[in-house]
Amino acid sequence: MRQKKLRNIGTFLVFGGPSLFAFTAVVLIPLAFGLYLTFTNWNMATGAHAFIGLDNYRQIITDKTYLGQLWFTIKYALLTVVISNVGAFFLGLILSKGFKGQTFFRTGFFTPNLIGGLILGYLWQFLFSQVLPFMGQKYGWALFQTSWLSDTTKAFWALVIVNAWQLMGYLMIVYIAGFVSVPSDILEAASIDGAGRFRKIVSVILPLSVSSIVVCLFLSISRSFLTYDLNLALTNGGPYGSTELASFHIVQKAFLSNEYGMGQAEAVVLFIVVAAIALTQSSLMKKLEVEA
Amino acid sequence: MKSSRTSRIAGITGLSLLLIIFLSPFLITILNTFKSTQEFVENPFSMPTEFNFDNYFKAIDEMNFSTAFLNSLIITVVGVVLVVVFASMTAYLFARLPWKINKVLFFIMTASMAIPFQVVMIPLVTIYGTIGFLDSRESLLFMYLGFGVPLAIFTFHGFIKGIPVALEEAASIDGSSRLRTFFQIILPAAQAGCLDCGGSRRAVDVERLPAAEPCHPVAGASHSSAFNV
Repeated sequence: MRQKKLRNIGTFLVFGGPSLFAFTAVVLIPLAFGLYLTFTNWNMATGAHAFIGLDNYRQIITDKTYLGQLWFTIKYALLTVVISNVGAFFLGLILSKGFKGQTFFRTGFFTPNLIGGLILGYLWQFLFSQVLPFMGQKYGWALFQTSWLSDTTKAFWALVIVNAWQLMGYLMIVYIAGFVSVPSDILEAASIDGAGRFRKIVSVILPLSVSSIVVCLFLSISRSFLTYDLNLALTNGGPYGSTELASFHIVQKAFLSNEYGMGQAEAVVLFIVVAAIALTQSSLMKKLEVEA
Repeated sequence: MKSSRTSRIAGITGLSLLLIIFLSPFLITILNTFKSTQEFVENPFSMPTEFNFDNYFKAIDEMNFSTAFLNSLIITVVGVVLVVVFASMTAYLFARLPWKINKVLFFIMTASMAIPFQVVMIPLVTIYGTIGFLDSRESLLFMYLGFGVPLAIFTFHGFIKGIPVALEEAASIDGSSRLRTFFQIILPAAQAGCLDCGGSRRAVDVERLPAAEPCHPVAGASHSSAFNV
């Protein structure tokens, strides 16, 4: 009995040891230290800090700008998640049919993910501020006459479009992995029973890919809530701080206005919101899973 | 027969058009790298008057490109290998041994993916700056491993769950140790998972760590110097 226990501990250490050690050292310990800092009025420049209890959190809850930004982020994340998942689902459907050259198309749509968000942001910034207005003026399209990034609503849509554009290819790969594993005998049985293409998607493929939908929703929710580099490169919070997403605001607060404890507390609130939404979503969706 | 062929050609044409639109930001940017500043301000769509590689030479000169590229290459290759090997082992542990602690740890890892990088950024730099474990390739690799494993474990967990347990049982009856079973049976069977993690790894990493650079002097300095060891 005792020997078996020792062996189990050995297995645990061999298989889990390295990654758990790195994860604890890099994520959990800094997280705990950061959490402690939210209860202090730590100042980066002087390094002095005193314990002030829940004051930071009390301030956040009454801070209208932060709550506004949180709401802005939620709207942004919702739109991004819906657009990117719907797009990725249909792209995945088309690209898992097994026609010649589909690997080429898969790679093509995945390409934006091979490049970091910062570079993509600068690329699209050039597009939105130079290329599209140029076309708008040349062909008289009112929509593109001025740069999208100088208008609050349009800048918001610019963020959504770019993030959804990038996420789509990534989620597509996850969806394809799900679609490929849908057993072909079930699909055949459905066609024999007279199901059309649309019917097959709704009644066979959709229920059988719930697990990929869960994964995709989780990934897209956490990624879009935590968008930072794209926000920095594309709009830099402008015009006039109207497109600051929550992550961006946190960095501004912590490092530019030097209120580190406050920034850290805002980050913790954001984390709780994201974790709550993402985990509720996956546990609710898990109930919809069916066995093939 | 004929109509199905036409519809297939139409489908591929439509898809190709969609892909071109999808990738147009890259195409337009690449087109403009060959032009002078004046040329692209005048008309971003025009073909370059001559293919001019000056911008590339200038970039390579100014960026100290060869060192930076070598660093990126080393960190990517070693980092991906480390993450794939260690994360797949841990995912195997979590997927196959139903101990309570495994379930708790898996939950924590999954939840940790929702942590904004900004939450750990400064504590990270403060802690590791104090013990002098910054500004080296090793420390950057260690951080990649720590930040990379949650998503990789999450992906592998799904793949490993789909591998039939019977395969392992057969191996263990034949006298294979758990470690050997893992490397000879599970890892080859989860190859698709390796590709998935390996491919997406770079994207996530690039986004996360150096994201600290432009906004924060301390983190920025340490990360960029880490890249130019």
